[in-house]
Amino acid sequence: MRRPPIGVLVVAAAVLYPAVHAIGIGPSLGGLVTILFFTLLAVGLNIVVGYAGILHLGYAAFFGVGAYAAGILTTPSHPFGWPFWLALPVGGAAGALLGLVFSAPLLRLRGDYLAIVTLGLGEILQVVLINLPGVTRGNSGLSPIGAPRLLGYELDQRYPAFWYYFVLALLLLAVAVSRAVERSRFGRAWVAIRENELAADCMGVNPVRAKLLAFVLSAVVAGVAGAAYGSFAGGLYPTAFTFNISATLLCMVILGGMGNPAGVVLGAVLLAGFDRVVAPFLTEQAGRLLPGGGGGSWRIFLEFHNYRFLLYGIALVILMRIRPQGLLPSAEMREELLEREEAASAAGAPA
Amino acid sequence: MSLANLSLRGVTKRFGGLTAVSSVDLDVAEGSIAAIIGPNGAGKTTLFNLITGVYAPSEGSISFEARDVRRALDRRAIELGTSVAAGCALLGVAIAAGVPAFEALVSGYRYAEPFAWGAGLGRALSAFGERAVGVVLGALAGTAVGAGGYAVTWRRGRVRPHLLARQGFGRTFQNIRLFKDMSVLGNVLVGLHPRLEAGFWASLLRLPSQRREEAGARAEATGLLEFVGLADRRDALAKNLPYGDQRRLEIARALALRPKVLLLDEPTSGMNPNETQALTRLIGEIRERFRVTVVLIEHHMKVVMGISERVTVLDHGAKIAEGTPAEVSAHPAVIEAYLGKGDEDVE
Repeated sequence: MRRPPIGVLVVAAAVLYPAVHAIGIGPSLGGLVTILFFTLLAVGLNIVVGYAGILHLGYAAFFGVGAYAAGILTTPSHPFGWPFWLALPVGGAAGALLGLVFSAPLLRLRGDYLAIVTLGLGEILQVVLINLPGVTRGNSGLSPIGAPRLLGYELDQRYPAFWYYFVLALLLLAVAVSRAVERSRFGRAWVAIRENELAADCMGVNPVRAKLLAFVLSAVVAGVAGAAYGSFAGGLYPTAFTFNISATLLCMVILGGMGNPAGVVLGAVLLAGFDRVVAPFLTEQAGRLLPGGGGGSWRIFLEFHNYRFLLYGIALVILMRIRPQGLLPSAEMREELLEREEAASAAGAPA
Repeated sequence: MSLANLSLRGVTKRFGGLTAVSSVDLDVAEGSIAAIIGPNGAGKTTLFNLITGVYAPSEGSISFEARDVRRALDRRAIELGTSVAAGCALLGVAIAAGVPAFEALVSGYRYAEPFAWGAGLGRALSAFGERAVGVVLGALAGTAVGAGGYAVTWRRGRVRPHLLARQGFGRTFQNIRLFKDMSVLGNVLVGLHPRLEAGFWASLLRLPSQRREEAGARAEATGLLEFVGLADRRDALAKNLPYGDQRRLEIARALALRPKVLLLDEPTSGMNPNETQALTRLIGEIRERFRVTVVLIEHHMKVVMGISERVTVLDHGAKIAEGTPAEVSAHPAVIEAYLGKGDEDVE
């Protein structure tokens, strides 16, 4: 009775949603797939930001490397023509390789310096994608990207239900991996480094190796997510991997509660949900209710989608003011709250 | 007197122009309790940081159980260095000619037409051939950067706290350094980290061997918490413990390493007389039960005189006196360092 199985209920609701949607209620599955991609990435970013406490500002680079590695292998505009299912792990491996190569010099830095270098990494990748036209087709983009084949079906965007379940499965896998590692000695080493690097070092934890593991593991998640995203979107363009993506993902992690995958999922669903579901709905309603169908030069002010960064910023400021640990802080925080409640109720009980 | 198992010879640490520790010799006998005292800024904590590998000495050597504490150039280091150099060489080649080779490979491909892989690979190879000089230079530069970088990293990494911790040095800190947002039990579990063997995949899949090991670790950590009297707070967050309990938690965490030498940096600072007395008893019990050598920095003279067998006095980074507590407290240089010179005394 300590904790109602909210997690189980949420997963069940997510699994059953397409059936509900089939009778015509709720937002489209395609929009939800984008939300799920963001959530998957946020869970991956949480490994490095939430557990190991490394402020990572270039996560989109790992997403992009995975996407392009798999995209190049599957697109018909290159001769490789690999099936999607083979390219998917290659995307993860490409992310891991980039993480490994860059983290060797990176992880000897600390705090702000490390953050600046990750920021640079994200910017460099975008410039590289634009300036290697022979490989990436530059700004004109890599398109189309091969779709996964299953039982004779070519599962591209016309099959949102497949993508919904596929990305949901990836997300559940990422959460399960996060949870398992969190409870192991590796997860404890991450948190120890986040809390006090010197003390962790003096307790026999090799900080460089622990950070490397966090960095590479989160890069694998980003790489796999990228590989899947490329196929879902059908085309890859350098503009899909800007700093905006990295910053939005970071907002999701911080808003939801660093170090707790469930909190991160909540943060990601709230922010991406606003962007993909709430804002289009509001825009549509405004257009319907206002005279002239919301036409006119001030129409642009009713594109609620454009307010997203303003709202993310306001949400973060309010959160930092009233609940700096995030909406759903990690399990140890909850235990502590529980302990206080028990102490309070024990004190209040008649002797 | 038994064998000295920790010995410092001419250990000096300079920070720029400041000599924090200057040419200190120190021998600590196995199983003894040694105290290091001295006025504020005498270099006591710096000495601890040198012993535990937080700093590398500018001069001098530290040996433990008759071996230099620095990591030797072992086979693993050489293997890792070789693979890093090889990886960097490949990276160098890729930077020198990777993109042109890729473009040569895929050139001539038309959408939906069969692609001649043999010819493509031939073009890619000749692209490498045309840039032979660049490729060789890239490989050489990559090897040099990889091997050089690894050599520098290895040299700097010869003295690192986690390596010293694995050799048997456990420590506490003057300004408490707990993992504040971790549970009390979690703090102690981190101390067990180097002795746990579960690999990454075993942890990911939560294999039975890993679960057994975790359960054992929890039991051992709980035992240590019982020993220091914190078992009933094991699920509390470390930051919510009272000050004295935080100090004892730091000791439990250090004990989880199963150290051979336990270094306590001002374990009783900020404690009232009752707590101080209890902690002094605890230090004695620790030595009996865990058979450790204890080195402590302390300001409470009562503690120092009560439990330590040898006292070393530092002032301005140099050792000014050494001996039994009684000898040291009568030593003129010690009295001078603590109370100032006597020449202004009247009568």
